[in-house]
Amino acid sequence: MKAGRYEYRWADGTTMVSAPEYVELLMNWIETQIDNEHIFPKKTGEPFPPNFEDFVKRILRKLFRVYAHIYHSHFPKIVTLNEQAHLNTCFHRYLLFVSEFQLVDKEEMVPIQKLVETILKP
Amino acid sequence: MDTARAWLKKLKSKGKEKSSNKKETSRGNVKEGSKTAGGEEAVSNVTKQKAAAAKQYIENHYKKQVQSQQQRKERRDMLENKLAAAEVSEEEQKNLLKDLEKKETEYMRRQRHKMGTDDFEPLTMIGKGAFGEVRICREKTTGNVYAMKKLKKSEMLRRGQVEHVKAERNLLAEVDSNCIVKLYCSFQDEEYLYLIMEYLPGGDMMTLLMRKDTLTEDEARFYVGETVLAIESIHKHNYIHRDIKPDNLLLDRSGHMKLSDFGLCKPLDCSILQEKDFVVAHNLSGALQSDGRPVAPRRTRSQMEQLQNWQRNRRMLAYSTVGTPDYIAPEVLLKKGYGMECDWWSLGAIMYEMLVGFPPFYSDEPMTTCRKIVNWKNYLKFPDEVRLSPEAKDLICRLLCNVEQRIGTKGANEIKEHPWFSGVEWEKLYQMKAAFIPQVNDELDTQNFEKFEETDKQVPKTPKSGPWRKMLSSKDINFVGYTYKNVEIVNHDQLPGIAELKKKSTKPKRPSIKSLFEDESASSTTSHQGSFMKLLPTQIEVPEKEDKSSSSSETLSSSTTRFDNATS
Repeated sequence: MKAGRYEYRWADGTTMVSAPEYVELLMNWIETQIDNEHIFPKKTGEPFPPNFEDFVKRILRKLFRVYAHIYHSHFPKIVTLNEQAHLNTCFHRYLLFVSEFQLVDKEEMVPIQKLVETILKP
Repeated sequence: MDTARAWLKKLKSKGKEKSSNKKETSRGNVKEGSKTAGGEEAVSNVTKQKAAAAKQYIENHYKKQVQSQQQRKERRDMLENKLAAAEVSEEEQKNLLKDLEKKETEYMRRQRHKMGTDDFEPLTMIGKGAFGEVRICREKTTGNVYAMKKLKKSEMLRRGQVEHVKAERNLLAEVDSNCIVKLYCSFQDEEYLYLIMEYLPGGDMMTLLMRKDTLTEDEARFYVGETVLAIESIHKHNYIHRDIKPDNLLLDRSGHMKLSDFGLCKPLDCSILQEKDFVVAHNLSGALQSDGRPVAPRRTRSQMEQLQNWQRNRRMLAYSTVGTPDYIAPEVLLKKGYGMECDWWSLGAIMYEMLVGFPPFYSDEPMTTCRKIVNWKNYLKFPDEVRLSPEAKDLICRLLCNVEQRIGTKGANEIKEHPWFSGVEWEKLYQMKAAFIPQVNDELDTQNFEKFEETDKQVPKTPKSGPWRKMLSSKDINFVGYTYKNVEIVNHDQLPGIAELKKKSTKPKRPSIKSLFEDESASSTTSHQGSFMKLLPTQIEVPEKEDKSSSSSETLSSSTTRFDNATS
């Protein structure tokens, strides 16, 4: 899956897949993580795991790649579908959240750095 | 949109910069641009559908978030105001606020739990229709008993019922009222939509009327009165029920009535009606011309014969795909524009049936019934054998009439002030002893419902994970936003603070030291009663629960009476 000059591969860079395949694999994986009660407990009083933050960071880092791909490869189509407000709202909230809690490194955001800086500019 | 435009401009300028740097890239961009500029052809219908569904999903998501945030703020503000007014010590204030935060966090965690059929144990079927079924079920975690209404998606789509389904879910989720059956949660899988609702073991008004034949005016006044309050309740939220009928008037275990839509029937298809209506009108006109006087409809049956015939056909009609048109307002049948007043017509038809024994435009053929309704001026009559007070007749005639003259068009108070309701204490109607108290032996009792053959009792276990993410498949696009969770099913009894605060918000009290202390003492009493109740047999436990939920002395007295009756 590409985002401009950057290419993302599945399984930490070992498997080359198309964007739809990548997104499908990613969403399946994220759902597995969220449904895992050892990571995201549902019952009363069950504690979160000590490395909970690592799990969250990994999920959000990979989600960024989907946004990067959409903005780089599909934004004109998004505009044609009149869906840009929805996309921008979701990304805006995502970005504010990960920025507030420092969940994604800046290096990871380079593919759409100008957009990121525009949103985060005080 | 301004933000979106700004971003669009920036991205366009970004594109220009790229084109100035690299020729090859520039060519690619130009080509892509030209394709997109080609317009609609580049975007398939499937993509458009998915985009529309995604938009709806996103809007629903953020709307819910805003609502939740607002509610949390309201609860906190309420607590802070209460603490300030009660002059509690600063340290105690901090403790209570921290406790609320803890409860809110726990509540949010529970909200994340995805409800599915796996969470419920299916029990007896109590309703079945063209679109699906209604069944008692027990939540595995809490043991609470609910009614699970299950609707087949493919049937909803095939019969054009999607908007009806959405409207029902929206109404039940929005309206929190004594008079309306409570919706606890809704969810879906690939095949079905599910509504988890309050189980009302008393049966419905249709069954009651079939048992009683007719009601006295005092008995009818009670049920018509509660129906008025129920209709008023949904009208205040700008909902029109449009299909109020005895099947949709359910009775709880103490005999009080709640409005629902358990009827699993398709709304009547009257596409042929107008043509036949014209024919009928012509005939009437012709008859008038030839004889020089209007032709009165011949009375071929006595009241008793009509009543018996009605009862034979009634249940069959209720579960057919045709449905029962007897209570539908003429403007609804004619598919002209209609407003909230169409529900008051239905009330009039139900009141007539309570007092006379069958609905006012009854006929063996539904289509004939529709024609009678549309020509109500010629067909609205009271059988000679029926003795009604002038006030009762007057109210019925004011409800079954043209929209312009119909009582209730300017609000429910018009009806409440009618002489037939003289002496009714509207605020106490739901605390009174009901006209009839249903026989209910235990919480799983279904004797007030019809028996249904179990073709396939086991609810097929569909994995919860799949449908959630594949919500954008063409089949599920219509049902985006269906999932819902009520505060009570999420909260259980373990977090009383949130439920209490919510209840208080609907009935705001003046904050005072006394009320705060009373709340605390009530809370301790409740927990004590709770622990005590665990030692009691199950049969006796249910009335005690009712005591706990009630604050009215009249209800307490009534409950005690019921308990004594149960004992004897």
